[in-house]
Amino acid sequence: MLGCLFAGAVGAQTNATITLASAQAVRSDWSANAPPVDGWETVTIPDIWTTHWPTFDGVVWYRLEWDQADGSQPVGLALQYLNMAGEVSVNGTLLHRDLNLVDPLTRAWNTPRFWVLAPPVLRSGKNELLVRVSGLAAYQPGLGPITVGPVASVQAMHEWEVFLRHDSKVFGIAIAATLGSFFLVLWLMRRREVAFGWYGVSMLVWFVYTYNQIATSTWPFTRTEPYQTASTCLVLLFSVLNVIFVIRFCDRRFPRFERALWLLIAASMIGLLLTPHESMALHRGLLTLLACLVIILAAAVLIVFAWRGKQVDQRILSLTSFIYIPAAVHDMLAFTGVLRSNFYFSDISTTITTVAVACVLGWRYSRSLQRIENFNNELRGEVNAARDELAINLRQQHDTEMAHARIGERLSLVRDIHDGLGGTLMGSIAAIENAPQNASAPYLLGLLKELRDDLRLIIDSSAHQAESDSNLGEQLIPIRHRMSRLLDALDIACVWDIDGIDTLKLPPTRALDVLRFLQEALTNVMKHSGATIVNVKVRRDNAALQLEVADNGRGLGVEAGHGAGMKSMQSRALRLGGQLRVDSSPGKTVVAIVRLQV
Amino acid sequence: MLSSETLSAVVVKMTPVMIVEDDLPTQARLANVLATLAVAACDIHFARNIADAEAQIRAHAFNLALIDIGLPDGNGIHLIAPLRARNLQVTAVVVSAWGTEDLIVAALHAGAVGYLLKEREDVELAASLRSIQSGGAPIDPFVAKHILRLLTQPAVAAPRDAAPVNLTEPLTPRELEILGLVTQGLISREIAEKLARSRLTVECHIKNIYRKMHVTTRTEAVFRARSLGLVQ
Repeated sequence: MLGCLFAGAVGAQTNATITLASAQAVRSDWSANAPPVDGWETVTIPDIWTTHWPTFDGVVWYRLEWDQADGSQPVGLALQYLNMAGEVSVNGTLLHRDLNLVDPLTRAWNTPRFWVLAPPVLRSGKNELLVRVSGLAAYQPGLGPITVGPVASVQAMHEWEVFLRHDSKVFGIAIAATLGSFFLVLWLMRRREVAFGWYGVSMLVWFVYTYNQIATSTWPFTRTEPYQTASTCLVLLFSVLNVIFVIRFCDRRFPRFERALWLLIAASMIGLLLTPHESMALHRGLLTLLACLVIILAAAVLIVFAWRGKQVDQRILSLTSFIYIPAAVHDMLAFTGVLRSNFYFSDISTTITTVAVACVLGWRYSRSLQRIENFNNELRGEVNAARDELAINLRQQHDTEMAHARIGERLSLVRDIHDGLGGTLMGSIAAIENAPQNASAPYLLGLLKELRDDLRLIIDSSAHQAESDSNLGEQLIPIRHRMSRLLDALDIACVWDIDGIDTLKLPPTRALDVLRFLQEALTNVMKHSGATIVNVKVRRDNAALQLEVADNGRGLGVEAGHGAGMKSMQSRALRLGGQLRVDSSPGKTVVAIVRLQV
Repeated sequence: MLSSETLSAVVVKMTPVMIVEDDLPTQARLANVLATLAVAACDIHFARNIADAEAQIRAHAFNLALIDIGLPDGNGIHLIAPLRARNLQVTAVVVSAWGTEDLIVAALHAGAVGYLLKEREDVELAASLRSIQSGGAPIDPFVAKHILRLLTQPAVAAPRDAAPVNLTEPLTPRELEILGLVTQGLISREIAEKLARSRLTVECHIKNIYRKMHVTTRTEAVFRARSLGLVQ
């Protein structure tokens, strides 16, 4: 056996590295300081000793030999791992010893080691490597591949091993922790995104679980077994969370299946906790297998759902399953010892998946932003359209109102002209037609002046109509001033008694009738009375307006009281809804409208 | 009488007088009204348009001019400057048909010290001219209102020109008081009674207000009128 080893080793020695594939192994108890003399057996490296000592917990010594042609030059020695803790010596010189060689064992199972060997430790010819390994049967105890050769080559191999077994794991753990927290917070802020909530939780569980890859002690546990049990529970938990995430991500719910899965996993965990030490290896193996199967199931389900549905993001994510499934299968085979490796790919595939989920999230986010922007644009367009429409409507409405107002103004002007000018014209035409002999020049002149005065009133009052807040007091000013001036020029003093009309607003036509009444009464005084003083009273008392024109002239004759002038005054009073009162005697004539309701 | 109010009513010389009016009946009417004021027919000169009037101005130094605003060949307001150039003492009175207050105020800016409204009775025109003759001036509420609005709301009156309307000499409180009473519809007799002053004193105040509204140069008058939105 040894001969074979040497033959193989020597053959590859000259300028390449040697992989020490064969060793002598012997068991001892936990406290032994040196290997026992008897009981050595030949094993193949890498070795898991449960393949030949199925239930052995304790220390196994491995003795490996190689032939170094030139012992004067330094060589490199690399050890990929030993499981669980141990010490390494060459030619009787101790190179390394882990902190704890009895339980709680130092977790050196994933720590590659490298030494430079030089004289006096290194000898020309036969060199002996002795590795003492403390391990537990349940957790694949044994020794990993060992390489000897030129320093540079061995060191390069070692560094690559460190990158794979340590650096890449740290990287994956950091990503799992970061994105896990991120997705969890995202879900907390936006509870509708249930899938991301599940993903966040599962990533945090995965983060704790994969910490095992770089842990070097059993912290926070004081013994190896509970640490391993917790680790197995975590991977089980992760597998379920992962399934739920996939189901939610595909917008589905299977309450009965999910409940059954949760029950199965919970029962498995309880079972694992109750497992006696002897059957731990078996149970742990079965449950880890179960977790792997659930993970593979989830990946397969994702593919099915994604390609049955139409959603792009689901399809993108499902592509990661094609990495996920092979990695899980590999790890399952490695774990069960079918593959002689203790290197696991699942954390790398998980990192890739995590990045893919992040991409999907980003894609969803940008898509919803796009939808919001489109919605905003649509909304803006609609608002603009509505505003334009409203503006057009308002303009049309305004134009219509303006047109109506103009028509209204014109109508009221026409009515005013008709009532005053028209009435006077019709009456005069009728009078002249009936008795043409009466149409003397002074009569016609008086007629024309009457028409002129009425036109003046219409102009004044329509000028006032433009001022919306005009009241009777303001409307009275032009006629008051005009008539006062005229009477004054004729030496008739005009005394005005105005009260309470500054806040009185009358409809334009009504106001015009009031002014017409006053103008006609004052014109009569001017023409016929021969008075020297005329008193004009315009008083408002609550709802009643009183108009009164009193002069000190010669008074109205009997026929004047029934003449055309009085008749027109009478009709004006009636139109205003009041009552004409004429009280006349020489020296005192009162023409008044009483109880004019306003 | 208060010192600030000491007004010497200068009797206005009425002749020679020019009537610028294109309508012959109105010409005759105005001549008749002047006749009631003892103006001899030989002292009255007539012009029917701007060109006629300018020729008349070259021929005579008028003391009184009654000028129709709407003449066939232009605005009668433009005659005020040449009239004043010929005789600084001239009393220019514009005659307006259905009175447009804008044109009357523009005429006051151009140097007119009175106005007559054609729509009024002859007796009233005669009374106005009598007032002018004795050194006063007539006024109506709408004119008073317009003047007050110019003074208190320049920004509204002159939207295109931010420069405030400042009279060369500000109106006295008494003048403002009189304007206020006119806008309420009181005639000069009533105002005189209210202020315990003579009627002539009140009418002299009004003439002074018109004088203060006058802008000396023609350019300035046009500018002022434009800034007030009176002419385009």
